Amino acid sequence: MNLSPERPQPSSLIGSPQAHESGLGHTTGTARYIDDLPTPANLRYLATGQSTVAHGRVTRLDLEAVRSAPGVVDVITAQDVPGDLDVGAVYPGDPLLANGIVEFIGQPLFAVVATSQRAAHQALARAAVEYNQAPALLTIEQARVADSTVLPTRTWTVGDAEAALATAPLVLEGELYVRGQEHFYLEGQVALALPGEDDTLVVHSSTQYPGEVQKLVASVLAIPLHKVEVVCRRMGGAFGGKESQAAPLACLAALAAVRSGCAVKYRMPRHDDMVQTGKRHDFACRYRFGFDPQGDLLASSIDLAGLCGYSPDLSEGIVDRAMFHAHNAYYTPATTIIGRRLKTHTVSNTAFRGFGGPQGMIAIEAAFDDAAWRLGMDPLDLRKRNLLRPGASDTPYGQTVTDFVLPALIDDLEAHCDYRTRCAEIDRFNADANGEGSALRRGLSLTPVQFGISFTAKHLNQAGALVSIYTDGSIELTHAGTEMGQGLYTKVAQVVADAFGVPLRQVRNNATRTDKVPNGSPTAASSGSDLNGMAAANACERIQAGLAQFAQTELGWTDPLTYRHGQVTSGDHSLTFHEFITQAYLARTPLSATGFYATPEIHFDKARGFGRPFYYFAHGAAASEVAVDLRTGEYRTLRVDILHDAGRSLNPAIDLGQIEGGFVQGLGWLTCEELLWGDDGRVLSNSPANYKIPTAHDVPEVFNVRFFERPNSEATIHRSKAVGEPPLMLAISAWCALRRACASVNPNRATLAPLAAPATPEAVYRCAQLARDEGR
Amino acid sequence: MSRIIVNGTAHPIPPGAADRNLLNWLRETQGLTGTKEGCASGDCGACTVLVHATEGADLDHGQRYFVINSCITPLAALAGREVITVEGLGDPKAPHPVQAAMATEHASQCGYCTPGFVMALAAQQLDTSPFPEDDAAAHEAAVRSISGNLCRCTGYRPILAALEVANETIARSFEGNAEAALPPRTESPGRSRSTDPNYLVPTTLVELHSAIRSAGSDPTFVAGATDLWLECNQRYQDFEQLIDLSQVDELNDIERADGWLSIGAAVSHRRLARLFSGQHELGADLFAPAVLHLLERFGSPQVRNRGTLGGNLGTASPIADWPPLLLCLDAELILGSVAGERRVPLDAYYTGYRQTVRQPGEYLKRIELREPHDWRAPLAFKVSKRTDDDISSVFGAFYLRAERGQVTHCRLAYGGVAATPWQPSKLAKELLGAPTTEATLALALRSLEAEVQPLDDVRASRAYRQAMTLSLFRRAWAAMLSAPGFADDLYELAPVQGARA
Repeated sequence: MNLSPERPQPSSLIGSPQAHESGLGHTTGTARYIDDLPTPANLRYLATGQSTVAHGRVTRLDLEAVRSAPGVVDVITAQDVPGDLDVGAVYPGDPLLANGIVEFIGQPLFAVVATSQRAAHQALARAAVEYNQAPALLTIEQARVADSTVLPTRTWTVGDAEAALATAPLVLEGELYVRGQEHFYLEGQVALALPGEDDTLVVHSSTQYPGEVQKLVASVLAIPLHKVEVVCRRMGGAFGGKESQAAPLACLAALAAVRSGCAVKYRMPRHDDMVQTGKRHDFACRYRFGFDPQGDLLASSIDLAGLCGYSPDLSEGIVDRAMFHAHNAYYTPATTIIGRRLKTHTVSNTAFRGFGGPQGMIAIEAAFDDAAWRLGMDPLDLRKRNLLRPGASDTPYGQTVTDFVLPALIDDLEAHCDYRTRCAEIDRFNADANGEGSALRRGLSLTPVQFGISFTAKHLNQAGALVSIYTDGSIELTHAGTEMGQGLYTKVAQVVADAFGVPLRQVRNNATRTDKVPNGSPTAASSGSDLNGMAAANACERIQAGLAQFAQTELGWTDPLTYRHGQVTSGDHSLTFHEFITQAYLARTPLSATGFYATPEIHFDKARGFGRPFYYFAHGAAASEVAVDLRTGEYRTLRVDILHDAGRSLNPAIDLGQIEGGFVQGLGWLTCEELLWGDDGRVLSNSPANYKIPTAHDVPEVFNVRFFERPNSEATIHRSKAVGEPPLMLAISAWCALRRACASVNPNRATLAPLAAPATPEAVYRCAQLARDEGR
Repeated sequence: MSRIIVNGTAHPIPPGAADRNLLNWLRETQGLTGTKEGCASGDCGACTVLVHATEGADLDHGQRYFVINSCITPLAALAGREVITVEGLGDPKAPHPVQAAMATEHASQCGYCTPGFVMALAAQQLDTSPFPEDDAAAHEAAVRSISGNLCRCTGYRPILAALEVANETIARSFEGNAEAALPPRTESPGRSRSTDPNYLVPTTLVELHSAIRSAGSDPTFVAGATDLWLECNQRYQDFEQLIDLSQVDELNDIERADGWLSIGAAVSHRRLARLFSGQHELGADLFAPAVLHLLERFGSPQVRNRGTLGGNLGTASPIADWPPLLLCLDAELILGSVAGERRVPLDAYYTGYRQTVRQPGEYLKRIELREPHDWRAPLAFKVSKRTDDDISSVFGAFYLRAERGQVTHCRLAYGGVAATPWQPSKLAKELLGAPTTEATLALALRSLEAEVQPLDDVRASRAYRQAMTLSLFRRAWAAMLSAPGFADDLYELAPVQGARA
């Protein structure tokens, strides 16, 4: 990794590896999360009673014993909601509390408010609930057969894929089932509602989307938006899991607070969080890819079925994004892509880093490995020849790629990680192992990622910021973006400090509050720095316009102003920033401004699947080497080399953290994290004792990350690129490497043995057994 | 009233705190919100705090400072102990070297797990055991020190880098003495035990028996609480009467005589790791790779520091890792009660899923093992979804011995395959005296395959468990035919040549 890149910079701050603004707060335990806030007098605690059946009608809900339990002060049901019961994120379908019908195990039936968290939870068991059970659809297969969807199926076509597939010399047909993923943010979902005067409320919510929490609290309570103020200083991780999922907690806490006049906290214990909140979608990807004998992709037909759970939530965009990324970085002359949003009687799945992109992308990478095996090619050669390139630059959704980053990036990585030499060495190792009958095999795979940057819901591509300079020269910054650990506050503060030429510590990025910057978009789609950085820069420009006028008319400075090293300079004139600001204030100059940004040039027709949904693409590639023990299926990731395109990075230390952390999170998704469901629709992997995210041991022993340093060809903030989601998909290389390691036990097998995703030791064992036993 | 020292200040432990855990008390009563709740089940490490050992069995841990999960530690269990939280290590103006290094090395992102990592790394620095000689071993030790802490953001690399930087600070500014980097603390714990009538902490057998008599018919015994406290946190169960066994002197003894090793039921896993390290005063020949392997992958450092051998057997969990190995060592249990004691062979102890012959009021007193001819001979293999801090899909323990081409000793047992720890007893009999040929191995595998009836659950399928039952036996058989020790495995595969450069 190279944290101090030498390159021309606007200032020493942009591109500098500044520490996270809360770093010392985190390490000393002084950074406060919502559950750490000093508690108001008479604080009440909320917990919800949950459905124990996957689908049915509630025939009896007797809560008398709950009401009389020790410490209980209130019990709330759907009938007690004064406003709109539905808290669906985009489309309706998510009742705050079940209203007669239940559609998943864990669905909240009622809320208990008590004097302690323990009392609230102990009271829940006293509810007497009876159901008239209905048949439940629990799997993609069941929903597909029943034609059960939360939203209509979409089909995008380019050319005549069927005709091309009918004549293609090699057609690979298959289905890859990819399991979902539990977010496992370390801070569980939490909200704290504080009632105020005149029917107002302040709600502290651990949310990526304060604007929507505000809207939903107001609609549940049937009060105007201006009575609800939502605050989020920081989240203890989110990863998409607090984009829509945080709102119900805030709404229930707010409702309970209004009813009691007391502050109410709703903090989900880990078990409830793992049962009651949505996860990454399972996807079943059915595909046919047609190739010519040289390995050129001729056509494809891809059917992506997402398991959405019981309601639409964000599944429209998630399945769209799977469709957008179904060809990853590759060109196809003809394709049919179908995206299905299947309704099941399970918790409603939601955003998770990558937002359907990872599930869309993995099938083509698996299929390319199959094709290379069949054609006797190195898989990297097959990948390289199919990359989008001049003359083959159209994506299947109408966006033409103009900035071809990956060919050069892959060449660089391939050389730097010694791909060819190591492949040969691994082939020898595996051949020797086959000869000796020993247990270990190795595999190496290099895969690219091309990820589209922008919300595919166009209206979300906007942001506001508020920048205020005080008379002592200190600067306060707020914007609609939220801090979930990704370093957004640090990066946007760097933009503002750079604009005024002051040290970073002179800028404070304050908590995200809906009363400071209204109508904010979610911090999602990797867009946080792009949108809020630009909005903050715009606010700085507006303040500077006023200051320029002040300098000219009051100080007689005629040259343009520069802000550098704590000085404001115009030609031969110069003042310290503090003195300059003091004088500007005395001359009655505005020292505060709002800024705004809307991403230009994007448009998309969802029904047709045509337009320019993305402002630009972020890229990366990873080469992963693994070792597998055939006796048990256990494995280790020996070495990973990543080359990633973060444009001109605003903060390489923070971006490096996103790349490494994203990769490891992706590695978890594809290896040890196995979401499992019982036949009755219950989440079996419902605790960290049986759902295993990676530990330090699972991290690659050798982990080399470099930046592919090239400014963004689009005019983003300081020509940087979004970096939150794309690195997660780099982990597909490790999954491909595991599959290749298994395949090596039988080089004569006609086809590559299938590997499940996630590739748990059991799945790897099965894959190696299949490779050994069949297809000789 | 009993008291607890937190960050150098003594606090009384209020009565009626029997069902409170240390974490909630720190956060809610003391306002020390730096320590976080991530799971309330001892799986994530966000609630990690340091305990400073000043007396008794704690000192035999081999470390005077050790980490625990505050979420699954009853407050009353810490009466008379000193606890250090993240706030006690330093503050933003005067951070501890680990706190400073974690910040400069970009080792926190969302920051929620961070205090737990700070405590784990600080404990690693305070570890006085000999420092690993080479970089790879030091890295391995560092990884192991945070194996009970989950981070969802960073990918861990910067956390390990921070430890290196902090170690340099300790070497440079504190002459290598990590204890000198701790802020001065005025109060010393002094001897103090829980005075809570609902949470009794006897220190002798006499006290224990009087506690049992006063407690009524069926008291709940606490032997580490790393499993029991899940009932409190996850099922919101209130306990009427708890008796903590961990401080009873007689339950903390380890004795060695006449080819038998007798281990008190309250001995912690951490102490057992020292016992079997080859560096214990009871003998350098007590070097047992199988035990060390078992313990390395047993829960987390936090759990091993609190959990006890008796607790692992007392819960009678079918997925406990100790029973299969103990069965291979012909373990016998001494069950104590106010009426006296009785001896039960371990293979007669389990009666069903989480059920044993232990009667109400009866407690696990000692575990006695027949010493193998060579402590390096028994083998243990664990297969789990994740390497560190995971529950076994299958755990296999083997004590096989071959002399002059014949199997002369044969014990094997499995965890995770049945409702109780499982011994293929038919196979063990068949193998005794059999020639060490490929034909015998093939017969044995067929016999195992026919005999094993594994579970099917969230951790592994029945088919995989069956395959692993055979696979692990094959591995043990191969090891029997070679030198005592481990067969080749993944962990011996050298990292890619030259890649660290």
